[in-house]
Amino acid sequence: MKRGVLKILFVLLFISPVGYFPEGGSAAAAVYAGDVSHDGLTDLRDVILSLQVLSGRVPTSPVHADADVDSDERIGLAEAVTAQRVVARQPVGWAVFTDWDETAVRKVLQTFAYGGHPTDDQVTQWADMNPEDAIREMLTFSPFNERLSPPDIDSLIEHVNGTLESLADFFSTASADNPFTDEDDRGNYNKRQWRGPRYTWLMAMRARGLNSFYHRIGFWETNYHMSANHEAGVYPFPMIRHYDNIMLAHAEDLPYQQVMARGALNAAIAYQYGHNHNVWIEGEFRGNDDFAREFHQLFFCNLGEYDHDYHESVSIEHTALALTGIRANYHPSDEGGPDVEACFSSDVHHVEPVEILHATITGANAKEKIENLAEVAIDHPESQANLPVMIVETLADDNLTPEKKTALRWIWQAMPEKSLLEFLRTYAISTLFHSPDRIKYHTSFDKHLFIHNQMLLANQELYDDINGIQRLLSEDDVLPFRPLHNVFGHQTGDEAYNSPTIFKNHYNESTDWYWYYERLSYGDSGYSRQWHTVIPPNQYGLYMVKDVARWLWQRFVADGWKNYSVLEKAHLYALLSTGHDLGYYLHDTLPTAPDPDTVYYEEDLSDPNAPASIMVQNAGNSYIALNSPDPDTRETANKYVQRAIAFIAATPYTFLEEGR
Amino acid sequence: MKRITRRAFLRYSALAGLSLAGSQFPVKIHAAPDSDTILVIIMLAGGPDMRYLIVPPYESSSGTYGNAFWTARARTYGISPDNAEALAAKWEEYHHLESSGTIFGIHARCGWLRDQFVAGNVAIISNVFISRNRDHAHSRLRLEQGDMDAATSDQGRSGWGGRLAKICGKNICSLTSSVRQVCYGPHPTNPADHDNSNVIDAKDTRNMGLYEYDSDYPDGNSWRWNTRGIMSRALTSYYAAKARSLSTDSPYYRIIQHEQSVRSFGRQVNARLDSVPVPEAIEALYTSDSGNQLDSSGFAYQVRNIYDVLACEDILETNILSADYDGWDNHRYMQENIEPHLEDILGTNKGLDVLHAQLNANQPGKAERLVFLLYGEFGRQLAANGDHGTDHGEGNYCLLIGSRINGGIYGEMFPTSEIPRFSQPGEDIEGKTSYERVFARLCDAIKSGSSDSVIPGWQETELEPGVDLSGLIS
Repeated sequence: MKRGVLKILFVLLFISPVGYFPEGGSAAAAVYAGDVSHDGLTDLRDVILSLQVLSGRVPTSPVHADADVDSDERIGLAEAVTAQRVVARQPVGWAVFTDWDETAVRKVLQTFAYGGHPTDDQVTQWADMNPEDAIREMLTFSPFNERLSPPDIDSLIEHVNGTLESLADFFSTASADNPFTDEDDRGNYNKRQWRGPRYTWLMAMRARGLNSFYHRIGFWETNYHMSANHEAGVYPFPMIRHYDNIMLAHAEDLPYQQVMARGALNAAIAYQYGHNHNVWIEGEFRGNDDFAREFHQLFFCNLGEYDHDYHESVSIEHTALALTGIRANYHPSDEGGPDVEACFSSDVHHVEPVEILHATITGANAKEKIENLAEVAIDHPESQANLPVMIVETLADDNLTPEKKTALRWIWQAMPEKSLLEFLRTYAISTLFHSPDRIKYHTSFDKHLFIHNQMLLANQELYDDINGIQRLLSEDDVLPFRPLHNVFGHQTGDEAYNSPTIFKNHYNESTDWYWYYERLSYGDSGYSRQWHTVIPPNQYGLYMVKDVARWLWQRFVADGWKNYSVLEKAHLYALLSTGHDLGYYLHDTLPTAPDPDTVYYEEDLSDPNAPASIMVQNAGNSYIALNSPDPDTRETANKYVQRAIAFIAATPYTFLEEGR
Repeated sequence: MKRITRRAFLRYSALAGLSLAGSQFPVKIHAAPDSDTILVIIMLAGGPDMRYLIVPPYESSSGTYGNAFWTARARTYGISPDNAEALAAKWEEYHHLESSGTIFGIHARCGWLRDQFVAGNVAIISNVFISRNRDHAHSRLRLEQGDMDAATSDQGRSGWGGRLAKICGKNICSLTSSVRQVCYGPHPTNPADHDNSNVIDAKDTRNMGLYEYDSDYPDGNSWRWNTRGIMSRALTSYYAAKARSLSTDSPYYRIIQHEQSVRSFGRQVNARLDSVPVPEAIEALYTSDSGNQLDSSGFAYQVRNIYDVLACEDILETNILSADYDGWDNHRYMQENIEPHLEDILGTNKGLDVLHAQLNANQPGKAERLVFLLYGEFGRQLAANGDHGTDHGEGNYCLLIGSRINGGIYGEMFPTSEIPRFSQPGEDIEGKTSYERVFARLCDAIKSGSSDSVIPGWQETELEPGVDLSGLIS
């Protein structure tokens, strides 16, 4: 209780300890917009109460619905925003995004779930809902989210509990339910093999019937924020536990500082930094201060700028003392393999309290001290300022302005208990995320996994390995759990965006490696991808090329057709209607187009009466036989769809995304 | 405070001027540069402990520098601090050298560096620093931007290598797995942003181009039906048209630039390298079972890339190359981690030695034009930690290697003021000379008068008393 009060006081002090009486008004005479506490003031208490209601927590004092500001007959985000604005006496730079629609839903899913696997109907349902309600269904930390990722016929939910470890166990064992019958395939998922975490996560991230958001965040937590690296000697099974422990803490709805403490105490982190050798013996410290520094910098985003000398000589050095006595050791496989979880000894721990961040940190062992330290670290002004910015910068926006950063800090600081989930939900339906100047450069993971998930129609495709994704990631030199920058995280969007080599790879995958896209089946399962199962036909049950092209663009680009010009249409119509490129299609149909290598510019295609435009319109108005009863005809039609996808995947619009 | 304000002003003015001089595409030579020197920047990411590479003589008498140094650092070699005999023996393993009265050792596995120093081709610049904090990311940002005042939020700005190439009217070649910030060129209008139109990605010189379908494919009319041909024609045509219609202000335009530069340079480089075999000695560096495979295949490929880029110098029109070698953050087990790294780069018949030899054999005149800059974002602490490594520090040595370098030691290599500090936890090498000073001298040597534009305000940064860097390169 005392701690809660202190935290609220801290927020009050940090933000602005002012209430606001509207001019000429009386504190008790009327209910003001956002005054959900009915105390006659619109102040920070109302911000907190509104967010408590929004997050599903029991409010700490009564809430009154007549303070509703957006006529939705409920207290929530809009009231919190209003209260914040009043408290700040100025606009706080964000609001709930009011033009919530299908494109907004798809953008949220692209960024935070690599698209997920919702049906089109589900996307429409979310678009039709109040964004505050929709986001609570879209982004959850349950290991399963049936709306975001409906179960497939393999019913994974019956075999796994959603953790990486359970997935690795299921896919690696000799169970009759295991869809992998080949011993080598099963070996890929062995949690004690170096390739095990990678294969298992790629399965988790793509499989239907799990939770794409959960695993997208799990990847971010372990490959960017609390990064651990096989290349630095972090063993496979401890890596999986690192991932699962963090995500289970999220699933338990623990405050973010407790999630980070759990991450910090994982064996994987001890192997990564080597503080499993830090000991306090006979009054002498033996070890290194590597993680002592990065605990503050990378986990809590505290760079020590508040007092450089103090941070270096006191906070970091004493954190190194707090980390003494962690035991996690390597053992050969015939002795059980490396320790999967760390244990915490008092014997070689610096048991005496230590001063860190100007606070006294107590604890009989490293676990107790780090957990106590986390409670202090999360409230440090530098963490409060930097952590929310880092989260958004690495997940969703490479173009954060000072105004957007200020607004993000508001959202973060107004949360009485820090919750990554609530923060992301709030951000994802805000004008900040749906801002026209938001730019997210796609990492190789962002691009490949989003496109792959949009292409994936059934889990059997994963089991048959129809479109193996590992080769694509290898080509870009990025593999999960081997972050390019070690503890500083994996490939950034900016790096990928600025890399001609990444562009070259992706371009060549759509041309030289066309088979990656064109393959519809593989192996002897009898499965073949059928696009008619998800692409809506017209009222006559037919698939008109221009409708299919438009549908594909939104599915694979999710920009509300903002960048879907006559040029993109022309190329897609040609590919979908004939399987040929635009140049060849016009060469074949127009006597005035002798050379298939002719470049057609937008102006060539914009005049509806120009011969080339007429032929493009004809192509768009033709039909593609996706539901033909003839298997060969159907297969050809599906291959044309795949060529169209390959084309879209090589356009500039899949290398980055914008807000609205 | 006054200094920063003035520097900030100088910086903004100079960078704005440089930006406005920029062009949108990989440049063609407009004017001959002052020098034909080719600078190879090798980033040793992680904060290399150069005090493992360069050491003072061991001394048995307490209170001396040699004694304090070796005692404090004994555990990096797995030696007990009180084992004088072992420490003395360790010193004996080093190559012993002398310069202007300073006796020092270069690590035994760095024979090529020793030879180059003896030949007068190595400048060791002491006590250099870029940042007073010990934060990898922030220090790296400052180092690659060449700006000691860069804040963590200044991520998008240009790099000093990119600016130097731009002012020379040249391109910068990135040889690394991802393009480092040092390569980023100045933005045409916004000093807070960058423009990579003069960056050539030469990560894999033997596979640089976009796939282009060969219409002379032997299978008759297959170009009509072959899916590679269909997709290749579609995208070639699409990008040619898109380049015309898409605004150059669009964030998507960068992708158009990539398409243009990769297609243009890839085609020419591939054609050239078809007739330039990789020398066996270079190939051996990244070939398993060759008997001379480097510990880091990534660096070995970069050595090959340097060789190839120089073979295509007329096509690529470059005078700055960006390479890197990762893995220098040795908090633990220094000896087993750092020695293979050092040898890979500086050992006899290893990376740079092989490159030099093969250039001399196959591309006469190229090796003598090369200047290698080896640096990292910060140094380490004076004493070993309890984990056989060293923790983050401030100052460090950096190396400049090349026949145009006026070799020697710049700055006090072993400051006696460190003696009492060796026994204090957390103490590090005091940074006395800013990296901006070093970069500025390199800039002027490559393009006369360029330093104030590329590194604005550099003359107001720290320089160790008594040190003169003006004659660093002839």
